[in-house]
Amino acid sequence: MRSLALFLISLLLALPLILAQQDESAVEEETTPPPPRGSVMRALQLPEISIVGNLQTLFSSNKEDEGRNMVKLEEIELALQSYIYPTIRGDVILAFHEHTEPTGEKHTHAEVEEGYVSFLNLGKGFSLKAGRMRVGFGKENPIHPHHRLYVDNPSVLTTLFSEHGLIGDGATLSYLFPTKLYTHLDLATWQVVTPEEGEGMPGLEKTFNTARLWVSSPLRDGELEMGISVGRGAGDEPVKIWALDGTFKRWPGAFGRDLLRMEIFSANHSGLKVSGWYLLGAHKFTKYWEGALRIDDSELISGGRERAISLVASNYLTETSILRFQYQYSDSPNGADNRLWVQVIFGMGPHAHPLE
Amino acid sequence: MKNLGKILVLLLILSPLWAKIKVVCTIPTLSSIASEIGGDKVEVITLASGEKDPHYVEPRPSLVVHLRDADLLVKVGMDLDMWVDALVDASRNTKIFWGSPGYVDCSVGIKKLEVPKGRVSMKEGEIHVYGNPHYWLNPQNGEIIAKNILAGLLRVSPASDHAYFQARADRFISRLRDKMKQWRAKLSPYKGTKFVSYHRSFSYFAQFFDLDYFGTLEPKPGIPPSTAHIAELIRDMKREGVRLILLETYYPRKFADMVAKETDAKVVVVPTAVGATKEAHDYFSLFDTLTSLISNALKG
Ligand SMILES: [Zn+2]
Repeated sequence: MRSLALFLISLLLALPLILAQQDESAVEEETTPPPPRGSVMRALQLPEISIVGNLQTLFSSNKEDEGRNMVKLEEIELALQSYIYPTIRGDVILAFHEHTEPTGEKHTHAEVEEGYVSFLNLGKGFSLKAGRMRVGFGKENPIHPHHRLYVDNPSVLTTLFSEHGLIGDGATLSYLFPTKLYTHLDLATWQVVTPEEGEGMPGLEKTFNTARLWVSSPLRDGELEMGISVGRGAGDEPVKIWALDGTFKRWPGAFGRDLLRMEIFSANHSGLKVSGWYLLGAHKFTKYWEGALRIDDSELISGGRERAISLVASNYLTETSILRFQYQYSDSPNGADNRLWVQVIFGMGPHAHPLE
Repeated sequence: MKNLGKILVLLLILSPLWAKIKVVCTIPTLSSIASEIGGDKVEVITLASGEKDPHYVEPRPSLVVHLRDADLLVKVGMDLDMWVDALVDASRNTKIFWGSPGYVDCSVGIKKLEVPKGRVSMKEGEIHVYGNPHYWLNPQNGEIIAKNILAGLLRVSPASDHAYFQARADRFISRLRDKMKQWRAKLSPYKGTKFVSYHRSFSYFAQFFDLDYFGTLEPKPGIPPSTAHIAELIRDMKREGVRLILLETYYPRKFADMVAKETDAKVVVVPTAVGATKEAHDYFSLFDTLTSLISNALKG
């Protein structure tokens, strides 16, 4: 399946050139609307290229924390995005991470974090995504890390999946119900890429099939979203995971935004049961500053549980450049810890996210 | 019973004739013009509220439902309402995808201002990479917007409706031309007046009314005001005697007040789009309000 992602990338990179040749004779008239961003019909016939960098410094009382007390380039995300046909999109996200071994040795590794093609309309309300992507399981997992409201991931996600969440090679068939209420169903099958063997919930390292029902409705001056996700592994004793998520957002005043989100997960494999939840609240104080509070409570696979409370302040320099501070107090079987992150996210170039 | 069946079949065949055309507009300014042209034959839905900054609208799933059922999508274009793209993708409605008859980009045919030349980087700001998208603030561009919407309506409607839309568009344009004379007369005593604003929203407005756009509190479009930039702006405004600050309703007041205090300039909070204030409830009242607020402020 790794080769699938590579194949899709080469296809994506080649298609603009193929289409460009077909398009050469077309002369743009003044009455033709300019194509949207991420369209290969644009003058250079190149996909939209963007880079999002994520710099972090972690001050921690826990001596086992990787990259403690130093500036660390957590991740560089390189995104190539393009329409490859009016109703087909391609998205490739390459990620460069740096890991520091306990010995102090540094390793940088590049990986295809996502590489998928979206068939936006198969007719009758259906659409299809195929390739490698952040699995649409629960609310936060599919969201790009740089688009989240905090620095570290909720402990239930890192416990059940991995530091990078749940990523798989596979395909998602989606259906938008023809109802007044936004109702969206995903059915998907995956070969799990992360967590890798030995990480996350046992039984996840192979085939994992998922479904997610997502409903959303305007509520007063905001929007209420609810989701239910179920996942089942392969084999005689498959891993089973379910998740419930709920989000309420409202946009008071000219630039305000309030958000309240909760996700609950429960996993089960051969008698091993792990569950956890987190609660996230955020409030925009001014146009440029946002505060957030997150409470984590998750059982650990190794036994015991981890509880944490985080306070986050984010300064939006622009929409894609953010300065963020996060303080966290956590309590786990290894003891209590205090952590303070300073994060700088910097974006360059046009970067698009699907509806999330 | 047989007759009832026949009537139902007939109704089904005829239903497109009185079903309203569903027009989805990104911002109320476009909805106002679309309603003027579409009249009773269209149902107009607006995605974003006029009170919000139109550059940054958070896409929300319930908006997808409107786009799924839309016959016509009307957008500002350039990079102003790019937030609608993800919603259109999610709607699966190919009728309103780019290049389809139901896709109306109102910036087509607009003489665009401040189009960056050469390489574009974030050094020039986060937004306005295709030029300044606030073109509806020159009422002459209202005509072009109307023509773009009319062309879209003609593409997606039965021929029997064409005369209706054409007549309404003609009426809108002639009324607009009359009003333009009024508005221009109201601000003509203040031709050449220097002013600043928070964001570069008024380039087209200044173009029509012959005002002198002196600067903005934002150092570049989408970049928050910095102390250094504000200090420089205060110095320049003092030197040039700039006494007017137009503040868009959706930006914080703090910086404008700071500059006003130092320069003796007057801060006037003004709607820059339909729906930004109660008074600016359609395209005409938007300019009525703008011209009144500015002329009252400059009367001294
Ligand atoms: Zn702007």
